[in-house]
Amino acid sequence: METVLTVKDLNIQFTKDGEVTKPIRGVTFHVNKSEILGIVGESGCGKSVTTKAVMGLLPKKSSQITQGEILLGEQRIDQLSDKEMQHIRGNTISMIFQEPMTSLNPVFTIGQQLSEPLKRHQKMPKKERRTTIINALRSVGIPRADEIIDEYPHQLSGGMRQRVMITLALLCNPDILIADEPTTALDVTIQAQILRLLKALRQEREMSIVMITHDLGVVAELCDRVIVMYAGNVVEEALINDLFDEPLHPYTQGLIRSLPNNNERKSRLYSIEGNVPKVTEQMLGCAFANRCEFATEKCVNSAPPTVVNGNHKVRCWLLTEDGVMA
Amino acid sequence: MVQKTIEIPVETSKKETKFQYFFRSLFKSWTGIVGFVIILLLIAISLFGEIMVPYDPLAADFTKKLLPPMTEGHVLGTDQLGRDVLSRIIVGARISVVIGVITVLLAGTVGTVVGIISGYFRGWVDVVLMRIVDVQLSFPFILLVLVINAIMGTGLKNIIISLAIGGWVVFARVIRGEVLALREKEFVAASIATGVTKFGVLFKHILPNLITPITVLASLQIATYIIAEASVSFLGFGVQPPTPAWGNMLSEGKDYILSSWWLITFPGLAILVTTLGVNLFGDWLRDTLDPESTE
Amino acid sequence: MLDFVIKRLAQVVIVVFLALTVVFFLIRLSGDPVALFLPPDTSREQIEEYREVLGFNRPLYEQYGEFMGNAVKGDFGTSLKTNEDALTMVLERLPATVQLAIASLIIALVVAIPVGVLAAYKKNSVFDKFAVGVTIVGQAMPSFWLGLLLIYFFAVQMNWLPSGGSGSPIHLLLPSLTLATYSIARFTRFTRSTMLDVLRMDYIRTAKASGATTFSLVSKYALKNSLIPIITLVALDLGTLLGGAVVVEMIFAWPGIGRLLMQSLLNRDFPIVMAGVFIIAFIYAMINFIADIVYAYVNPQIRVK
Repeated sequence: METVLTVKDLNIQFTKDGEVTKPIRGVTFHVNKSEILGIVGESGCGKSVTTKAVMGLLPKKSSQITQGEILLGEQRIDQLSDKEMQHIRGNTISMIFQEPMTSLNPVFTIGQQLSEPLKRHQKMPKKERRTTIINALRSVGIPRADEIIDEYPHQLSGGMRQRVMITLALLCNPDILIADEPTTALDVTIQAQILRLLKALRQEREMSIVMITHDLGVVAELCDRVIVMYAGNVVEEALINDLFDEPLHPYTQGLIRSLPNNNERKSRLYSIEGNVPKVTEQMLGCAFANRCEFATEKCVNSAPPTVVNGNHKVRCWLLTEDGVMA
Repeated sequence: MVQKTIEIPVETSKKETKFQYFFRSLFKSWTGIVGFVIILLLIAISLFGEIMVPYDPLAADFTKKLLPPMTEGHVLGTDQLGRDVLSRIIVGARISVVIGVITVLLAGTVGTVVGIISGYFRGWVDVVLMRIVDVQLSFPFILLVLVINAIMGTGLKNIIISLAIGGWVVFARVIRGEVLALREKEFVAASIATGVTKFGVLFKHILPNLITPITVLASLQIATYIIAEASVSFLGFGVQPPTPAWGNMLSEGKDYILSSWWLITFPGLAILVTTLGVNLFGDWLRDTLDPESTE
Repeated sequence: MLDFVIKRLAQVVIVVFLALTVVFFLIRLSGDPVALFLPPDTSREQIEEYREVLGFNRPLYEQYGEFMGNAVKGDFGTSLKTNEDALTMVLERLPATVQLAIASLIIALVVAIPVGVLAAYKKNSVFDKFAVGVTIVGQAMPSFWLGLLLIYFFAVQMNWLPSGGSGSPIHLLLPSLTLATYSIARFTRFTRSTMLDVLRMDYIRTAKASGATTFSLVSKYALKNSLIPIITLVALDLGTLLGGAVVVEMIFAWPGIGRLLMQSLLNRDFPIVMAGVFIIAFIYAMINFIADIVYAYVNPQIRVK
């Protein structure tokens, strides 16, 4: 299978007021051609920082990639200059964001905002741009596209704005679309529509999608493969069915147990005790140890290895030979 | 096999008094330190000015008039009546500080009360009070102070009253906005829901949360009042000669601009350093107490 | 939109009306103007006669009614000193003040917006730190002292520019520069902080993610967004500029409304004070009104509604 994006042993460090934090500590994953990869984890686990690093959108002064590399196909992109990244952003890799309400500029019309990437990346003349944009808007299911092109963002609903955002991301036919919680701010029916749209678009365009979410329901509906992140690490990587059928990492197990289930009425939803360790804290062992009901002395004192079983990878002591499965 | 409790050492921040916090954050910002030092100096000078002055600031000596700086023991020279400029600037500091502080107390109190009444009780009182504020804000501050001072008459007391009349609206407007925002906060709704009375909420939740905006606004307004007083005194109203206010010193000095540069230089420098210090401190205070606010 | 315009215009009328009312009563309650501008040896009968002529002996409400009645017709009485029509005297001085204010505003905008944008764009650079430092000093600078310094340096020492008076662009230079300084500092700081706020917005991230160059981000996207708050601030500060003009006009002997108003205040020439207050309140209120309209125009969220 062709790999379009590879992230290898990525380490990122932030410096603010002399204080150093390490939100990403050795993240490794890859994205295959025309697959939908889910990245799951609670807020602060590093999913957004990772994708920002891929896009080259981390603040230059306060952040630094201390180790690892990011490959777009065969090309290394983590060391590119801002100018070089500008040719990639919106062209080869696109991104849509969580807040469709604020992610569009309030003082420009939809058409004005959508023509930017066409102008920049494809040098398309003005007349052509308008038809291209109207067609693109129609292709993501926006009605009255020829009117909406001249309207301002605040005249549209949240769902419509997210469709506009998707149009913007897809205008230059990118190879990879990164979707950072694209449905979190939307209500449930709109959410389902957007997910269906993303699925259809993947089919049509053979595009890879990286779906960042904290919602396992979204993952189950959309993704082919999932990585689970916790406190700056990838703790588990699996195909979608494997993950739900046989979650191996205690954290993943906790996440799945805490899902509400339609079939059985639980008296109380499960929740994982404790809090995510702060990113400033130095850790010797597994970051999840303080919340893990199976944790041993070893988990606290030394970093867990990654156990590989075909497509299923887990970073946990419990699955090694001297570990004990519950 | 399974250990139920595992101690993970987590560093917790030590308890810090407000005083320690104040100085720790002050020393992080050099502008804050500069402002703080200038303010301390000003307070010291206005408290102990009389002991510090090398000469009597009011004593004229025509044999020594218009001496340039650093002659015959007059560090900043003498004026057209032979009075020591440095001594007059030192005594003038107290006038500026007194005017700035008393005005801010008056304007701040009136404005805060009006702002709270308007913002908390709303209704027709709010409409009437805010109309008054709107009207007054539709007239340039310095011009208003001038007109009021011209009508009321000059002198220290009247300039303070004029400045306070001109200045209370700013407090009223800002505090009303703060109260309106606070009223909508969840903790206010929560305490109303648990049956706290209207006045209880006001004293328990609203007032404590107003201390920060009032402090910040007051510190920044002092600079405005000091400059306004100096301008008004410079134009011939406000504090009258021979009382040495920085504004009227400049006003007298401008007649000697051709020959005696020091008369128009040092009193102005004193105003600049003062307002600079107060502004720097006020900016720092705003950034420290209220990190969310922008200018 | 029409409703909005009518409502705001009504507000202008109310503001001007109330300003006149307050100043009228302040003046009448503060003392007897007749005693002040007649020579000390004037006989009691003469004072009484004068009072009769000017109507100061009648009840206050009657005086107020008559004053307002005349004011509506544009009649503020005649100068107690020169006997000329008060409103005409004020209006004659209006162009000089407007000229000064506009020149200062142009200077302030031409300097402040590029400097503020550049400072935000190069945040924490040497240029940024220098610009911020200068604006901090500029905001603390008393304008009348700056005026004195400029006169001392450019007129007395160098003899390059006239120290006062009017009539040529050269005369305009020092006064408008003095008046502009505070606005330059304020606009620069505000432009910088607004730009920084805008650059943190989600839609800037969107533009970045679709490959916008840093230059186009700043010059095109962020600037248009920042323009709305900047215009609002500029409009609000025009009033301060008018107020500051009084002080500057006195220093540079600039023949504008401010100087006339100051002299009239010193002379207790109240018809002129009233006419001056009327014009200033009217202009100030109109500026705010126009600012609201412009604001509504540049902000599509309001325009459509």
